[in-house]
Amino acid sequence: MSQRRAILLIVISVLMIVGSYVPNASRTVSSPASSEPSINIDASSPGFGMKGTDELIVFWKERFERDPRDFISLTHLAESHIRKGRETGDVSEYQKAEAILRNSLKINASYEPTLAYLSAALFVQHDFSGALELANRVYNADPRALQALATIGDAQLELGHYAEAEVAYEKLGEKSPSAPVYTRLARLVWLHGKPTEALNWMQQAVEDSDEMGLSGENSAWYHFQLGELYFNTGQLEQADTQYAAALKAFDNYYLALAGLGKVRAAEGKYDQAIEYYQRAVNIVPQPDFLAALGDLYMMTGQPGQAEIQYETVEYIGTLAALNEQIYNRQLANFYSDHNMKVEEALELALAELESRKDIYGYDAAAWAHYKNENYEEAQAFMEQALALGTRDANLYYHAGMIALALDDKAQARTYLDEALAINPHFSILFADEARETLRTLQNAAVK
Amino acid sequence: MKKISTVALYSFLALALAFGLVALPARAADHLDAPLVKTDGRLDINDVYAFQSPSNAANTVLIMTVNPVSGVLSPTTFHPSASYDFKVDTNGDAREDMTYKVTFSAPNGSGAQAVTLRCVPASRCGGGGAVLASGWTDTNIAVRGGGTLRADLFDDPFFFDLLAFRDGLAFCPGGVGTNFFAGLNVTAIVLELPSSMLGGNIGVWARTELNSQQIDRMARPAINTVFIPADKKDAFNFGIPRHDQRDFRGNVVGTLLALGNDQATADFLADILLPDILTVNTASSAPFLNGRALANDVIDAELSIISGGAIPGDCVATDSAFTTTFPYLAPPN
Repeated sequence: MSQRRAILLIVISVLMIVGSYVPNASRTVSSPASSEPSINIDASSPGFGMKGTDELIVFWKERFERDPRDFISLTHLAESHIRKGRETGDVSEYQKAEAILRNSLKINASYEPTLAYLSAALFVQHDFSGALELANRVYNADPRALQALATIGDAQLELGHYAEAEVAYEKLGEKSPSAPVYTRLARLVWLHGKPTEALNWMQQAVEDSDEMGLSGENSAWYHFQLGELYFNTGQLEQADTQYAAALKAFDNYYLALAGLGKVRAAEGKYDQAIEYYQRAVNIVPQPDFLAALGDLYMMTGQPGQAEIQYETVEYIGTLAALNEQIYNRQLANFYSDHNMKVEEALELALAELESRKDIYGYDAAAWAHYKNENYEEAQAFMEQALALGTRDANLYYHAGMIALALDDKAQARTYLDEALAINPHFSILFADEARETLRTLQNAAVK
Repeated sequence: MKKISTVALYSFLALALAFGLVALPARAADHLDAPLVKTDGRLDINDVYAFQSPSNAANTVLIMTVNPVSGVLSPTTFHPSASYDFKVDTNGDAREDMTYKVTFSAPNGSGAQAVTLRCVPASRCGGGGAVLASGWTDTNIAVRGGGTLRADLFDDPFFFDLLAFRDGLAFCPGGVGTNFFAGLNVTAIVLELPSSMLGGNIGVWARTELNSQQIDRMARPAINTVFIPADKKDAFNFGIPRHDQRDFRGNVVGTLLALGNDQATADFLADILLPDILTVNTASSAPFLNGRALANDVIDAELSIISGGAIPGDCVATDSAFTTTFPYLAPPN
C-alpha cells in the first residue's frame, strides 16, 4: 500500500467511525454556508410554493413528533430522505429512509405507500431482486399502487428482464401520464435503440415537470437527463443548454456540473472541463466523475493529479459493503478502461452478471474479457450487450475493438463507424482512439 | 490548473466529509434513479361542497378541492390540459343537465394561471358554451349573469382523524381525536352562482377530465375511500352516477354488512349513498345531507349512519377559520 493510500484509508475510516457515532453531525446538519444556497434557489426558481427537500424533511418530522402514531408522516419523511439521497448523492439518506420505513411498518404493517417506498429504497441501494419481490407484493394487493408498479418496471429493467419492464412501464404510462413515467419510457425506448423517441419522451417529461411547477433538484434532474440524451446522441449544443438549465434550477448541482464538464471536454476545452469536474467531485466524489477528471488530468499531462483521482475511485468503490453493491460494475469498467487490475475487473463483472443480466452487465463482462485477452468470450458477451440494438456509442466502440482483436476488420470498421456516428464525443479516453483505429483500418483497406 | 499537493487534497476530502460538504456517493451511473411516481394531485379531487351562500341566500356555492397536501405532496397549480367540471342534475335522474367547466392555462413565470369558466350545453346554460368568466388564479373573477369564481390555494377545509381510521377505526383514543388535515393546504375552485341558474332541488358532483378521459369524480365525502375495494377504486373514479347502483351497489352493501348492519339496513343505506351525488335544496341552509357546507362534520354524520350509531364520530371538529364571505375558505397555512 502506498503512503497516499494509507493516508486516505485512515482518514476515511476515522470519518466513518465518527460519522456512525454522530450521524446527524456529519451529514444532516451542514454548515450554513452549504445549506443557504439551496434554500435561496428553491425560493427564487419557479417552484410556485412547493417545499424544498430540507423543508419537507422538517415538515414531516414535526408532524410525526406531534403524533407518534403517525405512520403516514413517517412514510413521507422517508420519501423525503429518498429524494434527498438523489439530490445530494449521499447514500446514507437511502439507509436512513429504509430505517424510517421499517419503523413505520411497526406502527402499521400494511400501509401500501410504506411498503412501496421501502421497495424503492431497496432499489436505489441496488437490491433489485428484493425491491422487485416487495413491489410485486404491493402491486398485486393494490393495482393503484403506482410507485410499486414503477419499481417493478425499474427493477425488471436493471435485472435485464426487458419484456417484463416494458409491460410494467406501459401500464404505468396508461395510469399515470406524468414526468416520472415519461422519463422511464424514455429510458426503455433508448435501450431499445430508438434515440429519437427517447428524446421525445424526455422533452415531454421536462415540459410536464415545468407545468407542475417543480423546483430545485426535482426540476433540475429532468433537464440533466435530457442533457444526457442530447450528449449521448452527439448533440453538444443542446446538451449544454440542458445542463445549464439544470444548474440554474439547482445551484451547485453536481450532475449538471459534471455534464458541463463533459461538454467542455468534448469541445476540447480541457481546463474548463477540469474545473467543472473538480467542482462536481468536491460536492460528491462520484466515481465516474472522478475517473473522468483523472482522464482529463492525464490528457493535459498531469499524471500525478490523475493518479489521485483514480485512487479515490477505488476507495469510494470499496469503502463500505453498500458502496461495493452499488459500484461493482463501475469499478470493473474503471479497471478495464484504465488497464488496471484487469483480472479483478473480470471477476467483479462476472460476479455481478450472476445476479443481474442486463445489457450493460454483459458489456462490462465483454470489456473485461477483452482486456484479459479472452476475445472469443468477449465477443459472445458483446453480442448479448448489443441484443436490444441500443444506440450507445460505448457499446459499439467495445464491439469494434473486440472484432478487431478477432481480426474481423470489416466488422470492426462497421462498429467503430457506428460508435462515432452515434456520438463523435462519446468518451474522453476512447473517442479519439476510435477515430485513430478507424483511420488505420481504412488506410490498410485502401492498401 | 493550480497544483494541489496530495496531502492537501486528502485533508480537504477529510474536512469535507467531516462537515458534511461531501457525501458518500449514492448514485450509480448505470441506471436511472428516477423520481417516485405518484397520482397527479392536480387531478385528484379531495372534497366537494355545495351550500347556500352565507352572504346571499339567493346564491349557491360550489367548491371542489384538488391537490392533496398541496405544496408538499402535490403541486399548487392546476393542470393546464385538464377540465375541472361541476356536474349539475336538475331533475333527479342522475344525469347532468349542465356542466360548469373550469380550465387553466399553463402557469406563467410567477405561477399564475389564466382561468376560464364555460357552461354546456348551450340549450341549458343560456348562451351556453360561451365563456361565463375569465381571469387569473388568486383573484375573484366576476361571472356573467351573476356570481364569482376563484381558483386558489387555501387551508384544507377537510377534518378527519385519518390515522384512527387507518388504525382499524380506532376512533377517539382517550376521548380525543387528531385532525390529520390540520395545517395542510389544498387548491380549490370556488364557484358562487345565483341559485336561479342552477335550480331548486339539484344534484351535484365534480370530476376532472384529461384528454377527454375522466380521471376522478366525487360527490359525497369518502364514498370511494370507505365503500369501494382497492381493485374497483379506479372503476369508480372512471364511472358515472347513473351506473353506480348497477356497478357498485354490491360493494356498498357488502361494506355496510361488514360494519355490522343487518341486510335491510344495508339495502336501505346503499340506496341513499348511491348514486354518489350531493343532493342540495338550494333554498335551504340545512346542513349535510342537504348539500355539504364547509363546517359540516360529514365524517361524524356518515360514521354514525353507517355504523347504526355504534361509532358516533371521530372526536375531531374543524379547526379552520372559515369566513362568511366569498371565498369562504380559510387562507393557506
